[in-house]
Amino acid sequence: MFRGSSSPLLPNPSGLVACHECDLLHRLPTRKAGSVLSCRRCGAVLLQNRPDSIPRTAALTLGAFILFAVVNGFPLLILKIGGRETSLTLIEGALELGNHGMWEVVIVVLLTSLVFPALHFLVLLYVLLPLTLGRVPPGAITGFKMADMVAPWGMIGVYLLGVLVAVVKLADLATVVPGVAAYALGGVLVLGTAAGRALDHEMVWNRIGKSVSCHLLT
Amino acid sequence: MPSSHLTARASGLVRCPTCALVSGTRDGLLCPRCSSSVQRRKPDSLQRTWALTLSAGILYVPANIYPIMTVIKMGSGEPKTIVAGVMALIEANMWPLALIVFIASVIVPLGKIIILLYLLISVQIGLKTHLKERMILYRLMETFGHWSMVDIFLVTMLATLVKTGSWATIEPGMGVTFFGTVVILTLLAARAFDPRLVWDSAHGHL
Repeated sequence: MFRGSSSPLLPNPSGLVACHECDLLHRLPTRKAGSVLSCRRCGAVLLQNRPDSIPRTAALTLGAFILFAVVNGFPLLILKIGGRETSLTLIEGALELGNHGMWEVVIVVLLTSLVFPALHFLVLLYVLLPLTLGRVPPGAITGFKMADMVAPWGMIGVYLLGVLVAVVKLADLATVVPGVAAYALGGVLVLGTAAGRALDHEMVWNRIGKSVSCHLLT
Repeated sequence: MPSSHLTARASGLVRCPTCALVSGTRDGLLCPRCSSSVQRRKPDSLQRTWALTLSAGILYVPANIYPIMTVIKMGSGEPKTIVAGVMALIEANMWPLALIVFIASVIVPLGKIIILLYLLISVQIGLKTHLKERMILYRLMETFGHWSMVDIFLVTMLATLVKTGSWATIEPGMGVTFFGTVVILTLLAARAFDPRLVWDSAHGHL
């Protein structure tokens, strides 16, 4: 009744998928590259089979990570007034509120704009780069779990909107120019989003997870 | 072939919350593929979502009363709340930006609290209608929930840039802490809510 887990086309060894939003069971169709399976009851997207998911996600994540390093080395915003220039980097922006005693805000801003996105990219690279060479790195299960856990808390896109609003708000007071880091942050957002869309979770779990035999189900 | 409305729970199966493997593992035991603890439904979902949503609703009041920043120009200070920040953009005729900030900082957090309350109440009274519509609300909330953080990021940037200028200073206000807490509580509440309960309760399985 159930096919074995060795077939690369069968993403879930049970041959079944349960909708994460309404719990309806679906039998997995034979997966074609680029196919999307939606829940027939609530419409949630259950599986997205992306062609060359692992190398593609690894490449896009590597690009995002390199650009994110650029973001942290250059100013985000440059303010010019009366011949003087003030600039701000991502970390300086996060730390400033510590001078006003608002350390809880500093921690939240540091985590969401810097630590979680960086950790997400790093852990994903740690898992996916060896996989492209056919190797499973030690601790891949823990690593991939961690990447999934921090992903929703990285808020680069929101931060970028904040940069845009800051430029416009200060426009009538002074000359404000987005720095190199602002453009790089835009690049991180584009590459990071593309990487998220290219990632086929089922495929990765099948490669790194423990092998599951089908008798568990019967 | 599973019958048209057979759920994993009704079949004695469970979907791993981490790796999505469907297996016959019992609640509280480990997923055979990724070793995460599996649960048929998120534990204490309704209680936790209620607690987080109500806390967010209560803190929403000080978040909007206290200023998120004070702009000090020529020695005189102007404390600004979140709504005042939007009004300033409208007065400056920056309509598109005012709209974005209004959506992110007023509509999103308030909408999230209202959607969460509606989902919670509809599940508890066992509402049988508008199932798909409720899922759309749930997805909207999941997708746009974190955009309200824009105000927090904005204040940190403005306070850093405009701090030593002789022409003006921007001081962050208490509203930042309250507003940030509201955003985080609504994010946690949305994650604590188990959308499968909407379907369970409509079919009398809660």
